[in-house]
Amino acid sequence: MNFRRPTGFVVGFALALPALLPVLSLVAWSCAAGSFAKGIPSLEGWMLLARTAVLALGTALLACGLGIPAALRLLAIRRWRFPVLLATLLIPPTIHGLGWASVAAQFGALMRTVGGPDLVFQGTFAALWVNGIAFAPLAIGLSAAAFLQVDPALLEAARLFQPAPRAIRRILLGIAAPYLTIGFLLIFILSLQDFTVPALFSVPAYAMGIFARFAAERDPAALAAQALPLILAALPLFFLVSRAWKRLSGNQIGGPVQPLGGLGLGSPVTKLFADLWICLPALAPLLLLGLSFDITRWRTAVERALPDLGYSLELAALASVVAVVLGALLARQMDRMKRALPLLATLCLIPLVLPSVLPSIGVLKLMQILPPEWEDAGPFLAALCRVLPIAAFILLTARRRRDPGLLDAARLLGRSPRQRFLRIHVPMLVPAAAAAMVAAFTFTMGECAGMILVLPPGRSTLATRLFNLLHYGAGPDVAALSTLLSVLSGAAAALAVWAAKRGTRWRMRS
Amino acid sequence: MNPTNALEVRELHKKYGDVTVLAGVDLDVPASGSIAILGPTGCGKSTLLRCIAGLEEPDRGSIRLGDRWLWQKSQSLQPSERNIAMVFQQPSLWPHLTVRHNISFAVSHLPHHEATERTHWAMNLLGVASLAHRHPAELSGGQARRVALARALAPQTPLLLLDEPLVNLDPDSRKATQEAIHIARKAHPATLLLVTHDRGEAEELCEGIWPFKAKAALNNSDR
Repeated sequence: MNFRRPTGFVVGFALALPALLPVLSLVAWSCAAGSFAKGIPSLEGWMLLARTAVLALGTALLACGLGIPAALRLLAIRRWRFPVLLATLLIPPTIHGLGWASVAAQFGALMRTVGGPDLVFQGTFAALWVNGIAFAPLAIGLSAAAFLQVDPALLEAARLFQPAPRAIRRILLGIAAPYLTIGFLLIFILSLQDFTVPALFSVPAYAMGIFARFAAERDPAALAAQALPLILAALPLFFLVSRAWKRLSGNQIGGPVQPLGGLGLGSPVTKLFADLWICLPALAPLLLLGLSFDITRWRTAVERALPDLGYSLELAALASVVAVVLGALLARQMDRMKRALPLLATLCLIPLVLPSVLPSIGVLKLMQILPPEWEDAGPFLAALCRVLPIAAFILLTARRRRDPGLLDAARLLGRSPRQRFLRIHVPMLVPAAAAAMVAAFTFTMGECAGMILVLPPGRSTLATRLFNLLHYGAGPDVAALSTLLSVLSGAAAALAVWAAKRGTRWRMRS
Repeated sequence: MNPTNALEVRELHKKYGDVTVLAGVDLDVPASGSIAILGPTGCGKSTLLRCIAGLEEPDRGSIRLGDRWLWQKSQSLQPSERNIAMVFQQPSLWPHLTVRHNISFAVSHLPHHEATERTHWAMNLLGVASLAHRHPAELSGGQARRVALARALAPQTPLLLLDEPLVNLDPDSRKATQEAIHIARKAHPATLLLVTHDRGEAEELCEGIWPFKAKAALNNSDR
């Protein structure tokens, strides 16, 4: 901690409070309940955690095994593949699960007609495959972001001495390794928290145990103790993220990023390979949509979901705007910190690495303090505590990538602080703010497990409605709502890209 | 004189979109000779060097080193197959590798004992052996240039390309780097092609000066 300027940490903590409040509330409630020891996992609990960790590790390996080679090719060839990637990023994992179950059922039926054996798509293998494919688009995106951190000149220098594959292996992967590791750990943590896909394929998961225990006992202290191993599992992620930010500061400047051209990755064979790789996560959901396409039932499903759609949009828009405004202030404060940064960053990461039901339980306790007419604040707080750190981290990364020379030049040229802010700082951060807004919007639109707990009676979001429909299996209603969810998030992303480009140009012109 | 390392560039054309950067460039550098390409910033000198190194694909023309075609219409060698070393405007040292590993990467295709020998030879020649275990972030600007030069010399390629190697250096580091280039030339008399906009630097480091006339680039910028 920076003891010389303790106010810096206090201000940062105050700005991060909306994200930390639900967690602090859960901790306070747990301490008051005093039954912490009850929640420490038994031997069976530890075994379940180990099995879940193995599944999460397999998921991260499969997703990154698909994602890293695909990201390399994506950056070398680009074009229409980015929108496909974006679309597949927004498909909920359960839709992937139902999609692959449909694929397996169709394949099984085909096998039976030719007298082949029955195909059973259940259990750990099915959960591993579906989770791996569902997280592959995220792995592609994170790997591409990691590769874009590497100065192309360093790769060119390597290509002079060694063939492209060796230059990629030793130099590109070597330099990007810390960022790739962060991506791997993030997918591992997300997979460790997820119980929807394991539940779909009858695989017990540790996070499911937490959810079930709270539903049965309503004991927050035992719950917090049970969640402790998940926080411990996230410790390497905290450490690496803090180190990566330190690396970004000072020696990285925000120059134009270039695709990885000239590496022999653009041949027709590799293009075909990349296309298959990138389209694989879209395959099963598309088949599911195709099989259940019924225009009348689709229209009815969307009409029925209109009130939920309105509520979801309102909630996601409000949460993303507040997250970006607060996140920008928090990022500014974190950027000024030195020794206290890892501590504040770690605190901010906690709501992200906890299963989303836990902060929601903290929100439930907070709602007991607030007057009843504030009931709509519950879902908003539950959403904000998860999206504020995301927005702050995106904006902090963008701040650290700025060329300090550009800001110094603006100061020397005698512009007023207002002009500097409007004409230099804001245009440089507009793309990151747009990215943060899309991430926050998409995350809130898709949030389900944590939201179910805090929604006021009679309210539901598009994601919770979809979750409820999933109990009846894959049908036109599920297909219609998942398509709607993906299209809305895709539209938000397209709008943000357009706004970022236009906003930057307008600021530059003025 | 070794005729296998004479450089010959014929009718080289390169366009970026509508802007012609190289329009029919012809260049001859005798074997083991040294030529400085002199011209103003943005005239296409670096593009010419990048085309020779294989980092850019020309549109037309040919490039030959000794009896090997590096690039012509039907034949193009990958940068690593051209047997060319280059020092860039920035040192471009790989931040995750130590000084020793930065240099040894350039010779890692050779048998282990030979690669180790070449790495030590280059480090001793440029006086960076004491920095062997440091990472690039721990080097001064002048030290980083010397390491970049050592990395380029270690493979003992027949052609060495220097793209403004003294730019952004303080006078002391400039002098030290110039001396390092002289030492390197004595130890390994490769054909040298230097790109610079500084006549003094060109005269100091090379036997001949070739003023770069970028007619096409000027015409395009006039438009």
